[in-house]
Amino acid sequence: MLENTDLTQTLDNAAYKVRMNALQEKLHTLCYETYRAERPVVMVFEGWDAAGKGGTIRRIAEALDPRDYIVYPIAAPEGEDKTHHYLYRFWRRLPPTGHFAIFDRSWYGRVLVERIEQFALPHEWQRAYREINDFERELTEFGTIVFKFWLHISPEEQLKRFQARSAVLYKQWKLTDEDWRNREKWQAYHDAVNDMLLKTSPPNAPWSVVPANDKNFGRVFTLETIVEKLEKEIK
Amino acid sequence: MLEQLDLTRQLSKDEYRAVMQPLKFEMYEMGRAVHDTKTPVIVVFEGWGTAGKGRAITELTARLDPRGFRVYPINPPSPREIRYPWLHRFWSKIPARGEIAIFHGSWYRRVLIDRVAKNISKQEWREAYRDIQDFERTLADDGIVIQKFWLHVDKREQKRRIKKLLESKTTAWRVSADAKIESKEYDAYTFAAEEMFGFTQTEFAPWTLVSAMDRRLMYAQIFETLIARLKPFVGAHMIEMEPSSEYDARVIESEIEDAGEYRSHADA
Repeated sequence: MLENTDLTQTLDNAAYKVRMNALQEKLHTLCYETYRAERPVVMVFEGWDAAGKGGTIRRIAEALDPRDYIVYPIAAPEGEDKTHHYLYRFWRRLPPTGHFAIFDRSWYGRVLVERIEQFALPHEWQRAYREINDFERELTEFGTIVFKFWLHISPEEQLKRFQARSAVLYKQWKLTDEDWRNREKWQAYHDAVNDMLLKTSPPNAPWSVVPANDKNFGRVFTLETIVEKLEKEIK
Repeated sequence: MLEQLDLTRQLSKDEYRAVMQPLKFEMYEMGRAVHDTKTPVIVVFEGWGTAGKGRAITELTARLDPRGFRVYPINPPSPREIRYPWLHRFWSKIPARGEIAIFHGSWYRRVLIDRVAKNISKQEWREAYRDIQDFERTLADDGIVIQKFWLHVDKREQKRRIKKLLESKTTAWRVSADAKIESKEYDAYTFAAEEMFGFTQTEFAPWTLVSAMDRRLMYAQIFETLIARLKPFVGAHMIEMEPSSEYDARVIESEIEDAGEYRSHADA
């Protein structure tokens, strides 16, 4: 599935500005309409390291009322999250009606990093597809609007971005040794992502694969997907 | 399933003492082994209002280390709770590894009182069955040991207990709005309960139906069932069951005496 993504698409800065402004304005209004409609919204961001999750989330957050959303960065679990079932962590962080919860990485860690690093046993991550589908079905049955984005870039693009990150002082915090280690496991992740896309794309909570080699294109693509679906769900 | 319950059986004080003394020692050991083995446990108490869910939990927790368990009373969802998918308030109460979560009422409200009182639509309680099956299977797969109890009294006995409780101001508060609905709709509630057993009786989350007509028998059956349920998971970590002190033996003796004092709240 990933191999069918056209990564050559781009958007120049001038066009980006116009379209991004228009999308953010729409999203701003939709934020209040979602609140009035009492629908919770869940957004999942997954993707390669340096694919642009953080930057895309910022473009979304800019458009939302700060009282209405929370962003959860998801790294290795700690404390209570660690002593419970892996989904406990996410059930606890669900948004109430009318609010947005944005997950920078998510429960899909179970079938990605936990699978590849062998933190989860094969039968554990294999049954996780069903558990996740059940979980998301319970969300959408309640009326939650669920978005799931896989931000896709090529390995060459990732290398360029890593190099840029290590060269520019204010970007260095974004690059860790782990990113380099993960990069060596590109093929394993590639297979895991394809399995994930295949097994967790029911109609109620489909994945959107975002062609993110061009940052402008990826961001506009993501916001367009959000605006389109929210308009459809709320009106 | 309910018609198979023998509601006439009773335990005399002496029988109760003989059965209960070893079970009480064992339960204490069991609680420790649950902690040591980091086994998460869920115990659900459902059943008729006045059947004695609260008393059963008191009896059970008296034998557990207070650091090792949590009791959750489940009421109608609060205004805050209805702003989330309905299982949210149960997911947020699942036990950590090594912890026992005891539910006084549970997610089964949804297919019992909420269904009978028509608090939710038919579609909603039907979907709830699937949600519940998925929920319990997901937890059990993760190693959570689940045991569900249905405490049963017959129609006449429930009516009698409610009537008796309502007679005095000091006990009237025990009769909840839910209990009144159950009592009024005894047959519809029974139908819903029977269907519930059918849909949710699983190997990994079994129901045990207990006659609550006689208090002593009820306690003994709950202890027996729970110990048998947990033993395969934690039995190897239990030590020889003996009263750990003279004091412990005295406490147990007085608990057994108390349990023999009356048959229900209504008779207290």
